[in-house]
Amino acid sequence: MTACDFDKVASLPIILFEVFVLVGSVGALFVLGKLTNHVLKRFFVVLAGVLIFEVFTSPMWLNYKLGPWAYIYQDVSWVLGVGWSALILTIVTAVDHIFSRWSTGRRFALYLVALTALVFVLEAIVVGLGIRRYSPEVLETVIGVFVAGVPLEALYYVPVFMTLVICLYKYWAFRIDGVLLVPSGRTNWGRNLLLTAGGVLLFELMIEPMVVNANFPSWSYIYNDITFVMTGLWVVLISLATIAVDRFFVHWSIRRRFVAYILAVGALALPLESVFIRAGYRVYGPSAEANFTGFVTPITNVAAEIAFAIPLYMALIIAFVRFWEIVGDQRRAERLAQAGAAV
Amino acid sequence: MKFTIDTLVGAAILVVLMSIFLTPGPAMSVIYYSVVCTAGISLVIWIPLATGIGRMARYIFSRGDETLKPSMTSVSANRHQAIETYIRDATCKGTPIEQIVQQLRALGWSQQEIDRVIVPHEPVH
Repeated sequence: MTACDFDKVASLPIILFEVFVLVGSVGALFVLGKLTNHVLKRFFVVLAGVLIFEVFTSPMWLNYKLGPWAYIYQDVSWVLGVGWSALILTIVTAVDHIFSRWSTGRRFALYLVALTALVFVLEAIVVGLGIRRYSPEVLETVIGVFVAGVPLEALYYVPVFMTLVICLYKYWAFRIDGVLLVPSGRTNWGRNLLLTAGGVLLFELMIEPMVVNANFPSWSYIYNDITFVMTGLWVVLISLATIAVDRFFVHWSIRRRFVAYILAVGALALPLESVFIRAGYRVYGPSAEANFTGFVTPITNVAAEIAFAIPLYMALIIAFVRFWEIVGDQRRAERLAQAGAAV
Repeated sequence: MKFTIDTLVGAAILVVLMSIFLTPGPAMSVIYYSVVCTAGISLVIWIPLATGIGRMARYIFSRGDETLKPSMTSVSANRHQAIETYIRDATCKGTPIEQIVQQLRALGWSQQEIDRVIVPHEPVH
C-alpha cells in the first residue's frame, strides 16, 4: 500500500486552483445545458473515459498535494478528472455547435488542436503548482525537452488521450442522441484491422514507459520495446472479437454489443496476458508494480490491477474502432442513398 | 460430417494458436498430457472447444455462402431482425422506403434479405 503513501497536504494556491476547477466545471455544464440536452449524461460518459485512462496510466503521472479529499484511487484525483471532463465536453460541444456543417473528421481534428493547446497550458499550471510529477520511467523515455515543466512528448500524449476519450464519448453519444444507425450487412476486414492497428499502436506507444515487452525475437521490434508480435496479437484479438460480435449479434443495440465486445476480448486477453507475464514477455515497470495492491486473480494469477485494466484499455480502443467504423458506414449509406435519389 | 469437419478445422486452429502463444513443444505437451493423464476425459473439453472454434471460423469466413444457410438459421434470423428493426424505426421517422432500401444496399445487405422484410409489409392493393 506504499502507493497510497504520498504527500497529500494542499497549499492555499492548490486549494484555490481546485475551487477554480470545480466552479469552472459547474459553470461550463450550466452553459452547455443551453447548447445541448442530457448534459449530465454526456458529462458522466466523458468522466468515465477520463477516469479509465487516469486509473490505467496512473503509474505514469503522479498527482500530489491535492488534499486528502481529492483522491478516488491511489493518486488518481476526481477533481482533476472533473476538470478535464468539463473541458473536453465544452470543446467538443462548442465545436459541434459552431461548425455543425463540417465533416466529422474535420471537427475531430479541431477538437484535438484546441484541446492539445489548452491542456498543454493547464498541464504547465499543475506542474507549476507542484501537483503533477512524472514517474522515473516516463522521464527516462522523454527526449528531455521541457516547456514550462511539461515534456514536449505531451504534444503526443494529449492528442492520443483525447482521441480515445472523445471516441468513447462519441460512441455513446449515438445512444444519448437517439441516432438511428443503418446496420452494417457486411464485414470490412481491412478497415477494421487498420483502425484497430492504429488504435493499439497509438496507445502502446503512449504507455510504453509502463510495461516492457521483453525476450521477443530482435527482428520483431519496431520501435523501442514495441514488438509487432505483441501489438499484432492484440490487434487480431480485438478485430476478431468485434467482427464476431457484429456478425453474430448485428440485431443488438450498440450498448449491448459494446458489453459483448469487452467480454469477448477480455476473456481472451486476460489469460494471454498472464501467460506472457509468467513467461517473462511482459514486464511491468517499478512504478506500475509499486501501484499494485498485491491482490491477484484466481487461476490466472495476475495482479488485480492488470485484470481490471485489460477490459478498460480494450473499452477505449474498441470505442475508437467502432466509432470510426460507424461514421464511415453512415456516411457511405447517406452518400449512396442521395446518389440513388438523384438518379 | 459437418461436425467432424468443424472439429478438425477447429483443432487445427487451436493447435496453431497454442503453438504461437506457448511455442510448439509446450503446446503439444499440454494437449498430450491433458488427454493421456485424464484417460481421455479431458476430450469432453477439447472436442467442444475445437468444434466451437471450427464453427465460428466457418461462420466468419462463409460471407453469405449459400450452402451454409441451412445451419445459419440463428445468424439469418438476427440479420432479419436487424433490418426489420431499422426499417420500422426509419419508417416511423418518415424516411421514404426507397431511401431506406438504398441505405441498406449501400451497407452490404442483399436485395433478397431486404425484400424478405419489406414484402410482407407492402400494402395490398
